[in-house]
Amino acid sequence: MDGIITEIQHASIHDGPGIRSVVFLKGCQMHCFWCHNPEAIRKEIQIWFQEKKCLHCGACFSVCSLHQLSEREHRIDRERCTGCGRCADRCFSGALTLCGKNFSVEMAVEDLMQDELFYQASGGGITLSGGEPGMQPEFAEGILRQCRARGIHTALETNLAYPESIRKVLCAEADLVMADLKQMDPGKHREGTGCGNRQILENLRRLDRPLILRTPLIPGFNDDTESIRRIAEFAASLKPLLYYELLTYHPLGCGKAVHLGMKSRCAPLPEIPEEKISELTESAAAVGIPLYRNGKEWRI
Amino acid sequence: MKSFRMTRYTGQIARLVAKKKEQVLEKQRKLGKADEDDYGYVLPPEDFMTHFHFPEVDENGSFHGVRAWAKNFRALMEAHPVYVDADDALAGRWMFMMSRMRAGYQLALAPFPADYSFLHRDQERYDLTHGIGKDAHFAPDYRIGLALGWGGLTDKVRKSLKRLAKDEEAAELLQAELDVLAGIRNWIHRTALAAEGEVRRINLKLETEAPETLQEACQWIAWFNMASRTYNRDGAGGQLDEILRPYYERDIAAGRIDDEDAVYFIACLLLNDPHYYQIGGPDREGNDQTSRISYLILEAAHLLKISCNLTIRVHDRMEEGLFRRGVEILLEDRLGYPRFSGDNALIRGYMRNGYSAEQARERIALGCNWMSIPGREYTLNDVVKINLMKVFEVAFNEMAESGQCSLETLHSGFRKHLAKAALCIAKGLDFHLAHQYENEPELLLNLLCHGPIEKGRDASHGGVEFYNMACDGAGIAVVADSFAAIQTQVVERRRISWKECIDAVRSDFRNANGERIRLLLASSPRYGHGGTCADEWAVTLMRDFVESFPNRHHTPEGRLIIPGLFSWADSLRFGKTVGATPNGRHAGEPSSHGANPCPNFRRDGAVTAIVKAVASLQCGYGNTSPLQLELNDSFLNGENTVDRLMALFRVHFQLGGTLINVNIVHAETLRAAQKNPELYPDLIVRVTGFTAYFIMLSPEFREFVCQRILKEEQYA
Repeated sequence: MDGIITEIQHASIHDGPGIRSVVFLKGCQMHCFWCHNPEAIRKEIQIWFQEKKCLHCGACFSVCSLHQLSEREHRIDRERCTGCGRCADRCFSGALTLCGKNFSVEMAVEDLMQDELFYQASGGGITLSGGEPGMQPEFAEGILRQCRARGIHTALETNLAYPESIRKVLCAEADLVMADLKQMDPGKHREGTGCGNRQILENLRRLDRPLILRTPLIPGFNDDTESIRRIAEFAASLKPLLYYELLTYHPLGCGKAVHLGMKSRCAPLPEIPEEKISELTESAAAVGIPLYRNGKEWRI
Repeated sequence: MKSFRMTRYTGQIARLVAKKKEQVLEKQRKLGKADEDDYGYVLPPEDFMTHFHFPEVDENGSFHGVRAWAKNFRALMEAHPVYVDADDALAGRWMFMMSRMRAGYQLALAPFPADYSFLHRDQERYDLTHGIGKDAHFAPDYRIGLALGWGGLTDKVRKSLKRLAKDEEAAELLQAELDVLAGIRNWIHRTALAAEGEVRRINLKLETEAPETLQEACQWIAWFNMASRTYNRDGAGGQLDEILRPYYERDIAAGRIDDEDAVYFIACLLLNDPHYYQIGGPDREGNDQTSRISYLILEAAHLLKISCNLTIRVHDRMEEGLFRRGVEILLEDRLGYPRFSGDNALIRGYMRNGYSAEQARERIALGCNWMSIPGREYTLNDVVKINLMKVFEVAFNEMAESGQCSLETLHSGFRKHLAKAALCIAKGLDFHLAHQYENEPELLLNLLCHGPIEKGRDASHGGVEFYNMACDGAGIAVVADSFAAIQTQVVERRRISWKECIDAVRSDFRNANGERIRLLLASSPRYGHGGTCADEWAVTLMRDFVESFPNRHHTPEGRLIIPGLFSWADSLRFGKTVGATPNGRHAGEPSSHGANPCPNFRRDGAVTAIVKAVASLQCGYGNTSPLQLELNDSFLNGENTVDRLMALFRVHFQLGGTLINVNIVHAETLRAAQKNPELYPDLIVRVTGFTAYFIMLSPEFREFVCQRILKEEQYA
């Protein structure tokens, strides 16, 4: 079984316990306007262009007419680009590279097993992230299963916005589920992510794996105490919940959007003031569930 | 261990540390840069050198030989200003370094009275750091001096002199040792008279008698360190917990002191001089020797928060608590200490040279990267190096000029020239051992070694039991990446021709298309990424280096050579002598650091990758290829950081790693300090094996350290 991965990141400490490797699968059914991994939204392989590195040497023009130099600006016709990679292959400076690579389950597992000793020594393991692993369920399930069979702890970062059948397959092979819940209000959820939240809530209610529920704090979307309190209250009703975690917005996705030519995603959102973040944290804490903020346990 | 909290001596410690900061600033103002350890010295009175003169100098203003060193040292000791501080449990500070007071002294080229011009051609061709004329860099056994005291040592020398009076070399050496001892005792006596109370009493006693209490033992060690520093910068420490344990336990049992007293005395010793001390690790039988005082030594350093060089020896049977406490302090203080040695691999490696497990367990990490059996082994660690980039350059140019270009030709040329470089090093080591005695005898370290006084032979001239000469390779990542770049872009992908590659490299990438070619070469696989041809090249080159020494790692005279990979602070200097390299490095840019990959070695810079990479480049005979780890908040945020870091270190040692040096620096602080170093007089960075005050580094060196730390931390 093959799949498309944007990156396998080793030595991660933010995606589950211990030292972990994270597989970022390409493709997501949500289109959150704040997405910090915009390279994983589309499922197809894309061209990643770092203009600062470009020498304007024209090596790519000779193999692909979709590249053009116009007023000293290197332009790419991304609408017609198929991600074949010939331009990247010719590029001298590394300005053009491919975002996304085909992997078989075995290739991915072999890469992940490079850090097996670190998983064992630290109580770590592997995490599937994205994008949305549920968009490549067979591939994702294959990686989880093979790692688990080798005694490696597996975690799944997911939005759970998919049918129950996929949730059952994936979660059965995950020792830990880290699920996002961004809004309780279905209209607002759809507005911000492009998807409703009915399926997500249903999957969460039926989940039987240890769960960390997370909410990214997004300005103008859910940075009000009512939104956070409602999610926290819902979290409190979930039996497998280990803790609820708030993640503050960061604009790292904007820089990546520039390299992908996703102009609408290049401008960062305004920061949420620290006092506001504290207020939101307090509103979640008031529900009386174990609470984390940005990877650290929140203690009043 | 039950937790420790200081309540009584906080005022004294705070004032001592404040004064230390003033002294560092003063040194920076008067002396400017010093790209090395702090050493703990203070500046002498400004007019001292106007009235002090060495009594024995040659026509060039330099001096050499046993008699001159002894007479000059004694004169300096007898004139040495005294230093006491009412807040300090110990008296004295050192102010001079005799080895650097010789006319014509240069750090890289000590004056040497014997002709070794027959080695010059290859020394220059391969940019060899040959070590001829270099001093110290092996370790004393403090227990000898602590048992005898200065009076007992004097008696021991006198007895030997009587017994060996007819042996001309012995008589000359032992007479010199008596001068040395008289000088030191004079300094102690004068200092004692300037002190008051308990410090005065202790020092008057120690002028002659052996120490009996913990405070006296710390003071005795401080005197030896200060005298030895004054003589020739010797900075090797020892297994401090085991050295001090008997005194501590006796004092505690007798009710003379409590743990707060002990920590105060030890803090004063660490403040006196940042020697390389070890704690924990296996004893001769392999049992862990961690004790209460091992923890107290850590707490003393934690209390001081100054430049410090403590090493925790990690092994299979170690006490988990000491390891954990060390990592906690490393994370909390962010001052680059303690560091951690991998004793399993070190012991296993040393045994491959034919030594017993008991002997191997006594060999400890006593300097930047060095290993030595205290008092028994002459090693010349860290001052003998082969610049592998230079050897590569010679082979590359030779291939280019021959017109016979292939990867095989280049590799066989590299090995051929490496063997020549190694032979030159080996001959140089024999030459050093034959003549160093005439140049600069080890009159201080001799006193705390097993053999020199008994045999009447200098440690550099047959006095000690073992002669295992160190030689380090430097710049291996640049060479591995260069081979990988050629393999990838010229041979396999054929993106450029051999001629294009050679022309670009030899023009420093300044010819037509040079920058394009440089970027192409630089985008090739890098050592450290894991599983690439560059990683394979690095291992191949490490093996080439190990096998390059003649006669199964022996000099022509039969001395063992133990290889390691380390560049110390020489990364800048090594880079300056080498033109552009095919990994895309410009001419004159620094070499890679020790066994570390080049900065930016992989996009995610995964810290697990560097941990595995450096573990794969262990030469395997008991010397180190240290891992220099730069960590920032991105790896350290979150829960259970201590456990994660311990896991990282454990895996490195499990894979054969030998020594870990860690920098944990806040990037913004470092950037700000780079702009205005004088605003950060207490910022300490781990340069390599040693920690240093940032302000004491030269601007060029600061930039080098910043580049390394900031480049690596952004991915960590």
